[in-house]
Amino acid sequence: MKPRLLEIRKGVLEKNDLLAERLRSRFHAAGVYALNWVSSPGTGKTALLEATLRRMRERGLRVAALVGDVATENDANRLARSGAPVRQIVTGGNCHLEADMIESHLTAAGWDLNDLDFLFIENVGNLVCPSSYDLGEDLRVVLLSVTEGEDKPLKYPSLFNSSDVALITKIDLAEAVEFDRAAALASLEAVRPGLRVFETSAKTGSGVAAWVDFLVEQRASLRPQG
Amino acid sequence: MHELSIAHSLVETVEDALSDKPDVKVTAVYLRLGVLSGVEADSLLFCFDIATGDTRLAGAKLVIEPVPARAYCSACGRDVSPAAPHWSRCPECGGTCGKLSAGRDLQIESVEVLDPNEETIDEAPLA
Repeated sequence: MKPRLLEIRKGVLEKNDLLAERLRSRFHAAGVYALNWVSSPGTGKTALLEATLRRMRERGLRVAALVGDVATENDANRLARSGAPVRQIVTGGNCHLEADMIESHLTAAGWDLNDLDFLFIENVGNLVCPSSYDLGEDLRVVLLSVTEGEDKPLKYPSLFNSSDVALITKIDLAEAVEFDRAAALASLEAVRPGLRVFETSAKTGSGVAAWVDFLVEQRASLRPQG
Repeated sequence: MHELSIAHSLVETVEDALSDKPDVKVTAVYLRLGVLSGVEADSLLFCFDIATGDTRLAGAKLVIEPVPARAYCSACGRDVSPAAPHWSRCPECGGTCGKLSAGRDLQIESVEVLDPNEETIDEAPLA
């Protein structure tokens, strides 16, 4: 028996990518702008997401959140304080979210996408694994806290390179931890040229309004013409 | 560490591609792996043996072709390969490169298979 070569030319994650593309079409058809929040654990994803959800609700925007965690429902309980519909995805040890989890949890939550303007997906805190998985989002948001070290983007280039926007968090602590702003911005630029950066504090609310304005603009530009 | 998930997806994708050839056995998988794919080659090789265990890929060789980053440098007008840690700096002229056109690859190019049905056809004229 002679071995022979068969051309395949398929992405390893083809199944996930097709599902993500289908989710994206559903979101767009319903006018939903979807975001995938990624970062290391402890960056303040949940705190900033709570602040974002509150701000958006004050502006009359319809928001919901799916939040991934390895073992607990603590984050969903925190986010629910904003008044937005929230559903926890407990991955049971899995280090990242995949598109099929988003689909099944959207179904289980019973949300009508037509009643939403924004869907926030908070990924599991991890700077490596989530980078490979498209969740059907319009915007991948990576968070970097001032307490982490300015060269984090250089150490984890895959995730930072795959992101569309960076949020620097805990900016209220910048002085106390001697955060080198220029070095952090240079690291981000080195990994992902042209990356849009917002500097924020969930605690003081600094930068949150500009971030929300940006999202509203982004969603408007996505709307079908005419 | 998500290489085991990736390895299972790899098996699944190969199985799907060969769904109309139930009898063939896979002896090698050729994979393009981008330097910024977020997947570690050694971990993937380790997990590949586990994920293929009781499938028709069992014992197959995983051949990984590393794919460097590629980006267009508007300063020198060329496609170049930026590298760590300056993924946006042109290695030729030092200019700033745009978005990557390659380097995130995680693609199965081809598989090497043994087809028992083909053997009969091949050997028929010799008999």
